Amino acid sequence: MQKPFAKEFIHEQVGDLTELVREMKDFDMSLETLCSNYGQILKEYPNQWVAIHQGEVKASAETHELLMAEVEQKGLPRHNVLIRFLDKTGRKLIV
Amino acid sequence: MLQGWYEEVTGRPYLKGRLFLPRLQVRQDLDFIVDTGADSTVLMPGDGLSAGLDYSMLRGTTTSLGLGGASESFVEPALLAFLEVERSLCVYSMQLEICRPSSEIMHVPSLLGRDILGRWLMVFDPSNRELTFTVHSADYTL
Repeated sequence: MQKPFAKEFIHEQVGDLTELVREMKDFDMSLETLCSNYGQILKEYPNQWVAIHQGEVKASAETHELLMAEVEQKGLPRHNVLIRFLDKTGRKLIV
Repeated sequence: MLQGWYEEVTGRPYLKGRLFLPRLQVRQDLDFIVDTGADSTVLMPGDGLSAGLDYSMLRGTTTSLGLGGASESFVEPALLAFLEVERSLCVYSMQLEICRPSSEIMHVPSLLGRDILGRWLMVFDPSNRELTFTVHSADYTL
């Protein structure tokens, strides 16, 4: 069993709680956008990697590497961007 | 209570969380696929690379069994935080499994397994678009 981190350490990692809550709400908006509009976004970006931030598709590319370069170039906060590959093949996911 | 989402078209259940890998100074928001069949939570390569994770810094390893057979993953002390609708932050301390990067699994989402799900009550009701989690316990609540 892993020894739990000290509570002070958790606070240090989390940082400003207000800022964290704001960012997590932004990310949830991005997840809701993707989940609720998956068919449309898939139609617009078939077999592409997309970066969604604050509920909007902000970048797309054919490879993960190219997408991350674009995320960097556009100055998007990498830690708060939803990155997903949109698979047009319709393959089943079994995990 | 935590609120998840069903992905239109595929119906896959997702929940957001924030991952911290303190030793590697990584923090990343992730969309986990909810997987009650997974013994533990797993960070997949697409998300690891999106987080800027330096895989050469990973040390511990473990062997897991999946559809592709047995595979070796890294293990790293981690914190995983979930934001309740009421704005409480539930934090879990864990040994996170991290899959080795491989082009075959780049598109596979990270898994939220029973090490976390086992501490919640889950309502999985796709026909009513309801995916919620009531937190029974957390390692830390902020």
